[in-house]
Amino acid sequence: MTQHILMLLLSLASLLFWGWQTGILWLAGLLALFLLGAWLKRGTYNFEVASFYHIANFCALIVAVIFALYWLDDRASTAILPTVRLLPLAVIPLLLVQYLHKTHTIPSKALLLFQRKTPVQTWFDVSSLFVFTCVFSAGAIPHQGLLYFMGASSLLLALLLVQHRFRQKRQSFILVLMFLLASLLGLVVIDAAQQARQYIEDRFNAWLLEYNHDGSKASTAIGEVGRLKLSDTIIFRVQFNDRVSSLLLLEGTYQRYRGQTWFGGAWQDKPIPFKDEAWVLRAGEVGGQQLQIFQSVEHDKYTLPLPFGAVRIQELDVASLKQTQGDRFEAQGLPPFLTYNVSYQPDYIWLDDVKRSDLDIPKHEAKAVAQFVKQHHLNQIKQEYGTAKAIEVLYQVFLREFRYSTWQRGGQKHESQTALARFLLNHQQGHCELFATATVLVLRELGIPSRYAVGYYMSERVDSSGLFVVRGRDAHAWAVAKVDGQWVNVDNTPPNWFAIEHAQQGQLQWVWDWFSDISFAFKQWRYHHNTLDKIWWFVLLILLFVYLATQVLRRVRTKQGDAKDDEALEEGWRKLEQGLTRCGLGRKQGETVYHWLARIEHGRWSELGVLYNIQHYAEHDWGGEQQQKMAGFVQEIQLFYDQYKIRA
Amino acid sequence: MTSKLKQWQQAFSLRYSVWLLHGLQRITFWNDKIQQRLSAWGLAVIAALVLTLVFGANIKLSSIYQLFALLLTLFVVALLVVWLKSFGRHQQRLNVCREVPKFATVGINTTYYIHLENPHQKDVGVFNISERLVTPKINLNQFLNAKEPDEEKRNWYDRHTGYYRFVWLKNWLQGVVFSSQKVSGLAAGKQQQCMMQFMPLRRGYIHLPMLRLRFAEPLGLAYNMQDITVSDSILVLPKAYQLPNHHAWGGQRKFQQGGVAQASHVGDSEEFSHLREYRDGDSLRHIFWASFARLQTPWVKQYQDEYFSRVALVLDNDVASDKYMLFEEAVSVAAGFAMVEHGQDLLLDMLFVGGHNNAEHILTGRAIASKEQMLESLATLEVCEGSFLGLSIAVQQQSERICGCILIFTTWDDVRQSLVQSLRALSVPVVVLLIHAEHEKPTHDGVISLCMGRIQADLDALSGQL
Repeated sequence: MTQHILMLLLSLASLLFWGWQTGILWLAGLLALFLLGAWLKRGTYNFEVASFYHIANFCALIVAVIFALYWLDDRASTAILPTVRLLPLAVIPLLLVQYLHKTHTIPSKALLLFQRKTPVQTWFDVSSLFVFTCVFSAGAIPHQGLLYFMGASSLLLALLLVQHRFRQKRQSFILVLMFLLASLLGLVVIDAAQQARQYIEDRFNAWLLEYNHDGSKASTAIGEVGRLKLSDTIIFRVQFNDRVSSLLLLEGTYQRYRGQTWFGGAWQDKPIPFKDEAWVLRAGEVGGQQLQIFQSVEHDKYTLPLPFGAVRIQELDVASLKQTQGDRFEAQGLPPFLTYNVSYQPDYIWLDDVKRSDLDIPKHEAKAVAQFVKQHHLNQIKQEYGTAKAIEVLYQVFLREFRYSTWQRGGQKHESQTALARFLLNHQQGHCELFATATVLVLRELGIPSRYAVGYYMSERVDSSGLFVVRGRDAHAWAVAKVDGQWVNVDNTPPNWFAIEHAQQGQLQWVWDWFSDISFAFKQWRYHHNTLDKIWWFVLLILLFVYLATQVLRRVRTKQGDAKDDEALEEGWRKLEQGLTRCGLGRKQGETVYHWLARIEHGRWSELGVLYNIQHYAEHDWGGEQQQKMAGFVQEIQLFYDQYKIRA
Repeated sequence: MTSKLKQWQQAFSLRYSVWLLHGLQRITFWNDKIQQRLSAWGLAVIAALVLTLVFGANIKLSSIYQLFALLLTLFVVALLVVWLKSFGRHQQRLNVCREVPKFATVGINTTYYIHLENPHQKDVGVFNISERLVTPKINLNQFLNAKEPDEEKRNWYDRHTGYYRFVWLKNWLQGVVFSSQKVSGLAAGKQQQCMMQFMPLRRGYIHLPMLRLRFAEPLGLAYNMQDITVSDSILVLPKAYQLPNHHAWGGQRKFQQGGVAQASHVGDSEEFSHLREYRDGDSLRHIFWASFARLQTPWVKQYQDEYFSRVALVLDNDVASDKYMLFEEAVSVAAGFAMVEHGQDLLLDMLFVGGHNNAEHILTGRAIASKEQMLESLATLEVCEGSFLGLSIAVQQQSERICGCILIFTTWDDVRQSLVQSLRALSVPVVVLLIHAEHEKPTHDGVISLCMGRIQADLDALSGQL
C-alpha cells in the first residue's frame, strides 16, 4: 500500500512538472484532481482483460487525434514534437483504469497493439511509464538553463528509490550517490552536445558561405571547376495567365565581387508593411499583372522569387516579410506550403540607388576585363554610339564568340589567371554565372553601374495543368545595369543555354515529375483551403474521435459486476474451508485447494477444486452451469457439516 | 529454361534460409546475452535511450537530449559498477544444491527445490536464481522442416521470417523451459530453500549443468553474474495419447493358454478367482469347507482358466531426419499403449531398433516389467535411419508367439507394406497406425491414419470403429 501511495504522489508530481514545463499547468492541475478522484475509488472494479486492450486502443486514438489536429493546423511546421508534448494525456486513461482495477496493475500486452491473442503472462504498474512519459514530454520544447534537467533527474531518482524499496539505508545511499555521479556526467554530456552542435553549425555555415548558390544568403560563388549540377527537381509552380512564354524571377542582386564570390553591399533590413490583406512592397504603386506561386518550404526562413517590378503580395501567410541585402524579400514564420499572388508592373525594375560598389572592379580581374574591352573596342563604341549600342555589341560578342557549356575546364598548374580571365580571354565557354559576372564587370569598365542578379528563368509550361514549372536547372544568373536612369536586365548568356540544359535531363524525369505532381496536388488540397473549410475539418475530426471513442469505450466491461462481488465469493470460499476444518478435514500446510479437496472424503469434492482453479487462475469466468455446480457443492458441504454437528 | 529458373529459385531459397538462420541465431544469441545482463529496468532504459535519441536528435528543437544524456550516463555508470564488481572481490559464493525429481512428463509443470546456504559472515542482498542450460545448435534441416504448433495462425511476416518458429524450436530442442526465481536476500550463516518450476517440452534427459545467480547493482539496471556448477539430470517421459478402446488392441487371446509358470496353484492350470454360493451342478470338490462350517451355507471356490495374450508393439524408429517431429508423435502414441491398464492377461512386447542397428524388445505386463520401464525406454528412444530391415525380421520371428501386432509407422513404403502383408498371411491380427503430416492425406486400406496436430481427435474418432 505504501508503494502505491508513493507512486501516486510521484505520478502527481511528474504531472505537475510536465504542466509547468510545457506551460499548461492549469490542465495538469485538473488532471491531477481527476487522478486523485480515481484513487479514492481505487480497486472498485474488476475489469476484463479485453477492457484494458480497449482502453489502450483509446489511448492510441488520443495520440492519433492530437497528431491530426496539429497536422491540420497550417501554422505547425511539424506535428511530431507537439504531439510528443501532449503524450501524458494518452497515458492517463490507462493510469485511471489501473487505479479503478482491483489488482492495481494492467496487462503488459495492453501496450502492444498486436500479439494480444495469446494469454497474458505479466501484469505491471503503469505509474512508472506515466512518470517517464511526463518527463519525456516535458522535454519536447527547448528549455533555457538546466531546470528541466534537474527536475527530470529528481523525478527519475525518486522513481528508482520507490521501485527498489531497499531495506537498508546504506543501499539507498549508494543509489543516490551513483545517481548524482551519473547526473554530473550527464551535465558534461549536455555541455559537449551543445558545443558539438555549435561547432557543426559553424562549419556548416562556413561551407554554405563557400558553396552558396541559392541566393538566400549574402554571397554566391562562381567558377568552380567541373560539371555544373543540373537538378530536374521541380522547385515551385507558377500560375501565369499572360501571353508571354517566359519570365525572369529575381531572388536577389549582388554588388561586390571578391575572389570568385559575389557579396551584397552594405544594407539595413526594411520590414514590409502588411496593409489591406497584402504585403505592400512599393507604396503607392499599382500592379498591372498578376501571377500566383505555389511552393513547398522546408525551412522557417525563405527568400521569395519575385518578378521584377513586384508591387504587392497577397495571400502570403507568413509571420513577417522584410527587404534584405541585395533587394531580396525574405519571409519568416512560414507554413509548410506557400501559395501567394504577386502583383507587378512588367518591364520595370525597382532597385535601390546606384552606389559606388556598382562600379567596383576587383584588382585581380581588372587587367583581363580591360583587355577584353580594348580587344572589342567597346569604349569607342560607347563614346560614339551611346550606352545602349555598347550593351548590344557586347551581347553580340558573347553570342558570336562564346559558347555556353555546363562543363568548365580548369587552368594549367601554377597558372595565375583567374577563372573569369580564362573565360574571357582563353576558353570562351562557361555557364551563366560566368557570363553574368563578365557582363557586370565589363559594363562597370565602361562606366555603366551594374549588378549581378540571381533567380530563375521560368519558361516550361505544363499543358495539362496550365502551370509553369520551375526546376533546379532553371536557376539563372544575369546582369542588371542602370541605363538612362532605369535599371534594365542584361542577360548575355547565349539563348541556347536553356535548350542545352534541357537536353541533359534525366531519363526518369517523368517519373519524378509524376511524384511531384501528386505531392503538389496533395499539398494544394491540404493547405489551400479557406478558414471555413478548416473549421469543418476540425469538426469532422472531433466527431470522428467522439464516435470512435464511444465505440471503443462501450466495450469496456467488468467481470461479473465489480470487485465487491469477488470479495463476497472469496468470503464464501473462506467459510467453506472453515466449515470443513471444523469437521476435521482441514487443509494441510502448503497444500493447494485443489489437492486438498481431491484428498478429503475420497475426492468427492475434487470438482469443486477445479471450480476454484477456474475462478482464480483462468482468464474466463464461470459459466451458468459452473455457478449451479458451485451452489450444489455449497449445499452439500453445508449438509455434511450439519450432519457432522449432529454426530458430534 | 524453366528448369534453370527452378534451380535458381531453389538455390536462392536455400541461401536465403541459411542467411535467415544465421541471422536468427545471432539475434537470439545477443538477445540472451542482453537479457541475462540487464534487468527489466535496464531494458526499459535501453528503450528510453532509443526513444530520446530519435526525438531529441535536434537539440535546437527540444530538450529531450538532456534526458538522453541523463539516461545514457546512468546506464554507463551501472555497467561500470558491474564491471568493477566482476573482479570478484565483492562476490560471495553460496553453497547451492538441487533436489530434483527423477522423472517428469512432457507438458506438465514440475517443481523442484534449490537449497541455498550462505557460509560467509556477510549478508547477501536480493538476487535472481536461474538454470543455465547448454544452448542447442539448430541446423538448417531442422529449421526448414520444423513447424511451430499453430504456426498457420501467425501472420505472413512471422511465418516467412520464422522467428517464432526458431524460438520455439530452440526451446523444444533444449527440451525445457525454466522460470527464474527471485530470492530476497540471505543472511550470513543461514540456509534457505527456493522452489523452482519447469515445463518439459520434450522427452529424454534434461541435464542441468549449472545454476546462475544474478546480483543487481545499486541502480538495479544491470546484473553481476555468478555461475555455480551443480550437475543433475531429470528424465522426461513422453506425453501419452489416450487410446479409445483398449480391449480391442490386445488381439485374439483364445488360442494362447499360458500363465502356468506364474500360477500359484499347480496341476489344473486354473487360478482361484473368488467365492460364490453353491449352485446345483457344482462340483463338490470346489466347496470351500471352512466357510461352510462357519456360515452353515455351502460356498464354492470359483476358478478361472489362466490365459494371457502377447501383443507386439512395433515402433518404427527408422525415420528420415525431416520427419523427426512425426516420430515424436509416434512415440507419444506408443506411450499411450504403455499407459493402458492391460490387467493380468496381456503381455506387451515393444520392438524397436536399438544400438548398432539391432532390433530390441521390451516385454511388459504380468509383473515382468512395469509400464514405467517402457516409458523410460520410450523417453530415450532415438531415431535410427535405414535400420528397418532388421526390425522387420525380428517382428516376423516373433510372429508365432504373438496374438496381435500393433505397428506404428511414419512412412508407408513397400518394405513396410510387405511386412504387414506377411504378418496377415500368418494370421496375426495387425493394426497399423500411420502418423502423417497435415498436408499428406494417405488413403490406404487397413491403415489408420493419424494426422499430426490432431492425433488425439483422430484416436477418439476410432472408438466407434474398434
